[in-house]
Amino acid sequence: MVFNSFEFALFLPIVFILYWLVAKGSLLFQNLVLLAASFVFYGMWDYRFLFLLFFSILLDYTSGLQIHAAKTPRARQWWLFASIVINLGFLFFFKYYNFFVDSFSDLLRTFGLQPHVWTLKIILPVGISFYTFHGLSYVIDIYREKVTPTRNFTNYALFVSFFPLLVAGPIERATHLLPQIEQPRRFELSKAADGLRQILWGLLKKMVIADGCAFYSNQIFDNPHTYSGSTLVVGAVLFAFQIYGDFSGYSDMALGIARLFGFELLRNFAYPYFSRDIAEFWRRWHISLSSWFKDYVYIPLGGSREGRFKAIRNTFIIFLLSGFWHGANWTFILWGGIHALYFLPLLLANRNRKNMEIVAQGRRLPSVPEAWQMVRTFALVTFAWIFFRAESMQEVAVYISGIFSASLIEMPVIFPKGLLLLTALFLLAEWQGREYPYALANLEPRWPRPARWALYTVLLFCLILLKSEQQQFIYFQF
Amino acid sequence: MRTFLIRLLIFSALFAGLVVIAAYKLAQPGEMDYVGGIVVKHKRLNEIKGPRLIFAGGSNMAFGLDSKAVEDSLKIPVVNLALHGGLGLDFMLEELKDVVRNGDVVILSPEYFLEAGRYELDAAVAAFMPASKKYFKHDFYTVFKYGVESRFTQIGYNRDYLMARWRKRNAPPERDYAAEVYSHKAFNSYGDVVAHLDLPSYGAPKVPLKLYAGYWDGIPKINAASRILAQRGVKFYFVFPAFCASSFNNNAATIANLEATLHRDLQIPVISGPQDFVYPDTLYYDSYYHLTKTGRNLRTQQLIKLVQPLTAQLHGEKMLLSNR
Repeated sequence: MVFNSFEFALFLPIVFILYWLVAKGSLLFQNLVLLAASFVFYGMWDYRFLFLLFFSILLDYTSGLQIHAAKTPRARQWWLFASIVINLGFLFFFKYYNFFVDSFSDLLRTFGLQPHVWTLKIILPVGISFYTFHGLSYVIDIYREKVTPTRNFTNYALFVSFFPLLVAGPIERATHLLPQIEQPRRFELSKAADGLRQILWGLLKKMVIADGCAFYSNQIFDNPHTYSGSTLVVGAVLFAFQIYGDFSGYSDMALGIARLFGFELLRNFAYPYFSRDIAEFWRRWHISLSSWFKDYVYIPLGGSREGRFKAIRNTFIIFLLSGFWHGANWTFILWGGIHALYFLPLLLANRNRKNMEIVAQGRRLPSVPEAWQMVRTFALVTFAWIFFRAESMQEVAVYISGIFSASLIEMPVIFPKGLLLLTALFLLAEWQGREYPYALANLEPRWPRPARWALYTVLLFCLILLKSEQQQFIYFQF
Repeated sequence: MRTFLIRLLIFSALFAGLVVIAAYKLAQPGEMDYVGGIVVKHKRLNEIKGPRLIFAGGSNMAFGLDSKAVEDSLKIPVVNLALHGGLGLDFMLEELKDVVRNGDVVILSPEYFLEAGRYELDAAVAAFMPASKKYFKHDFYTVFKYGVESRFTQIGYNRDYLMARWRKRNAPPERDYAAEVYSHKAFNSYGDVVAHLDLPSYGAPKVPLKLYAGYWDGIPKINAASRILAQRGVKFYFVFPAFCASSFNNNAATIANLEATLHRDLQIPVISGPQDFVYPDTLYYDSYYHLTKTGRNLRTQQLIKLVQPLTAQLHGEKMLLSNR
């Protein structure tokens, strides 16, 4: 079940009514409603993987309690180690087993050996990377004594499996979400209305922008050898908007749905394409994953505290790991490596924390240098997306060599003017809303209700008339 | 909470009213009428008393077969039951299970990786031939879902219709080829699409198609149907679809994998290779699968060669009938 499906349009109101009207006044009952809804939501993908999800929850719940109760540091370490190994073991098996087997056998072949390859037909459980990281952060935070483990199994299970974030994040922290689960929640009109607005904006991003761009970018990426350099550039730019609309649209919907139930989830996107350098981009793109790697990998490795060399090494490690987290393919690892390379000059010049504030804050337009910096950063990010989108290194080579050919100056064969105009309008809306959590967040109370309702009606008709063929959410495969 | 629900209900009611108005049926795409071709096909099926040679599948076969030439060559009554890939493999197989009888020979030619059908097309067929309702799922939930979604889809059709009219406002009236080809009147009495044969062709689309590369879930469905057809004394065969050269070359590895999988897992004989019906893009009328007159003639001759050895059984049946 996906957020932009008919099934979900029926599922959400049912859960909403059960939660606020039937289970009203009972925190336990409300949490049970959400937990049951989350398992139904997940089970509709593939009910067999509910057991895996349940086991993962049980493992981390038990580990958390055992770490907290352990009398000796050794016992604490043992439970932490066991939890990390089992969690990562599942992730490795389902996501990376075939990749390692294939890569190892390729390596042996380069030495003239003929290995007997034993790969498995493994179905990747949707959301495994996300819920594994939820569980790991919980256990590590308990080990670090940042969090006291909950004894309430329902609350912990809901923390991991809460349906808006279960399959594609944001990757939550126990310090942020668990207290919300443990506290009674009151219905707030403005919060619920804001949630619906954010869902609407997320749907537009996904169904109009992302799916529209996907229609053309898929054509171009599927046949890179048949297109001119200029068309390949158009394809890469369209993919940049596809993945942004797809993932940030999903995150907007997740945040909006959670708000309908009285929860505030971590923000995952903050207008990343208005970034002035790569460091700023990574503070604004998939924020919950970047901060996860920072807190649980980068800082424990020493961060930037132990000299420039270690800072560079640690930066490369987290970018390569981040690439690998996205998928079992060398293209993702290289994508991470390219971003690390982009980061390098900023680290060497100690300018990685230069652009911390919102671009052109309090002004309508950016200055010329700011505009140039944004265009430059977007171009770098878009180039790296080619690695992310291509299915193999051969495809990357074909695509990039195609771009840097004489045909770069030809008129592109595919140039969807209507869609590009729509994307420009969308960017304009995002630009005017960049000081707020999402583009429509500042409508209330500035716009009177009739004007707001008229706008919602127009946007809903845009959804009906401008939506493209439904594409799977890109991040579900991770 | 009460205020929220009241406001939400008022807004939803207003919006639903606007949707109902905007979804007033101004126009529908040609394929909704095209699928009415099922009537002529079933008429022919019922007219023939003895065993028949039935070609089934999607529009690749509807556009790409000269049934009369096959009939004249093999001296066996032929029915082209193939209609539209959008109806889905389940529809085609259910239809076959319903119409076949002892002694029939069935040649199935679905498009590559054909999946479940589109309910709106299935429902459009049922509007022409109510008996076809048994070929697709139409439980309460599906009908309800379609009822809602079709309103939204209709708004899109209306938009396209109005935009086309606006574009044509100052242009001289042109012959509407698409309306002629995608119509229930496009078929001859055998069930072949013939309306396009003498029209100028557009060729296959310039951008090659990229095929899905996983395991085709149509294989177990065909196997299940084959067991039922075998019980009824029907010979059932599989042939690859007509496919334009550019898309074939673009998916050569995927199609080779599929061919190997079909030979391994399909429980009915695969009597052609995928390359047998690959023709230059210029021999396609307007899609990756729809052949022009020349392409159709070439494919028909190849099909005759492939099917000839299989029809001995039908000749035997005919002899038996005439002796009686």
